[in-house]
Amino acid sequence: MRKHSSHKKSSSNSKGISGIISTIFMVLIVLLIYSQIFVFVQNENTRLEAGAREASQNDLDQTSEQLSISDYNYAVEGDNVSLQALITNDGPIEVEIVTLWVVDTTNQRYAYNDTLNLFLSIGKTLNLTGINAPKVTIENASSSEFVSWFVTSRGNRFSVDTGTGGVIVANVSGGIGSLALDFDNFRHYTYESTTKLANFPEGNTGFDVPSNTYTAFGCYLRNFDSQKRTITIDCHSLFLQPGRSGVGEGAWFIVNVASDGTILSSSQGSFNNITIEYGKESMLVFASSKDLGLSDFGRLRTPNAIATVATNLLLHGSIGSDPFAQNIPFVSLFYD
Amino acid sequence: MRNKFGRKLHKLLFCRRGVNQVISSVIMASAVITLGFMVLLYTQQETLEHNTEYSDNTDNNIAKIQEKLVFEHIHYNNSINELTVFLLNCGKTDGVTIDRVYLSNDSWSQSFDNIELKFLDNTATSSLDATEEGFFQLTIWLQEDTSYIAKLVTARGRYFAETFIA
Repeated sequence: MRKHSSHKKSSSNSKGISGIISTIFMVLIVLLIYSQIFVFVQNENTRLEAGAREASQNDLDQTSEQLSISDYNYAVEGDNVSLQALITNDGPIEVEIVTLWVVDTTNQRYAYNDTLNLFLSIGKTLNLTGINAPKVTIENASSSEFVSWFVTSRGNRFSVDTGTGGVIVANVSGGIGSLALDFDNFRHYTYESTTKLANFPEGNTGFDVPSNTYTAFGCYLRNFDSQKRTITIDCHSLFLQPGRSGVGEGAWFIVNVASDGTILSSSQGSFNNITIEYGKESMLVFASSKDLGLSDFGRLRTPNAIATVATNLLLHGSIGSDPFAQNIPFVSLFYD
Repeated sequence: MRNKFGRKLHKLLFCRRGVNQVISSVIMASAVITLGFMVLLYTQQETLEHNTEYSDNTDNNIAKIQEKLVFEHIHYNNSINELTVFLLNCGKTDGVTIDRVYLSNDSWSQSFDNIELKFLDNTATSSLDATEEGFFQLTIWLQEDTSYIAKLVTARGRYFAETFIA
């Protein structure tokens, strides 16, 4: 009976229930607010972490970029300098080349080409030759030395002047063959004796040559072979002056000359082939009236006439392991 | 039956016991509800402001982390004592501004502010967006063939340095 009455009392006594309910509500509200704040902060932290991860991924991508630049040449035409090169993407990611910088170290000038936008997939090679060669404008750069580098969109710089040195291709001759003539340094020699050139190697610069005089010619040639092979010049190479309107033809064959001007190849078969390595310049002397592979050395006079004549360099030999021959349209001479 | 209902109605209408308690409860409840809403609105506003500030802060931090400038070329013209620094914004952040530039070597240091940034086409700009290139020039005498360090500090507080020979 007492038990029944206490049960009735507890079920009918609702005092304190509201407190419990309000506490539950309060706890729920507090939990809700805290969870909202927690989720918000968590989201922000995730965003920050994603940003940091992206930045470190970009750094990683930047260090992964790898380009190799080979077979490069600078071609100068007026104030336009174009860089011909093969660029290979050796890295594990695609590369975008955005800018080419060229510095003329001779005149301390620089120029850039920021319109490249060249995309290079993994393992691909880009052939920047001919019309594809990027150009920059540098004043008076015809006889300058250059250094250059490409800038990628990830901020890497890849220098062109790593490895073997770059060379400058002459405007005209470089477009014809692997050997290019240095027009400014063309010279001719008179004889001190029958087998010794006077004032060697300076000689006489310019294109006015005394007529009816025993003469030899000196030409500086540079090897610009795109495959960087060594060129060997043999005894069948000559300096040819075709005849015109009463002026007889003249042919001066190549000879070996000592540093004091003495002609070393005086007899048949005595000529030693001359090698010109890639990028190197060498002076060839043409003095013999006969091909030293077929006859002995003999001097040759210039024609006894006052006239302007054309001349050509007929070169013969080998390039690497292949045969080589080149006819360089040469200077014009005035016999006076 | 009719009498009983009438009595109850009469009691409800004319018996005033407990009315005060009801009125005070209503006033109290209204006050609490009003106050509650005010607190709620205030809290919401404060929370919103705080959230916005927090978000901005996060955005700034991300922008700062992703800010990246590289030096494309540094050229010193000794005939007119002019240093030209070419930059590329290769990061992911737009609006990179240069706050200050420091030039130094082993025994000397100088800082420059009010940097006049320009695009490569020579038009002035206050900042560089991602992938944009630009340059600035400083007039200063530098010892030829001497190594210097150029250090840039951006408005977000990142710094980028490069060594060059004048």
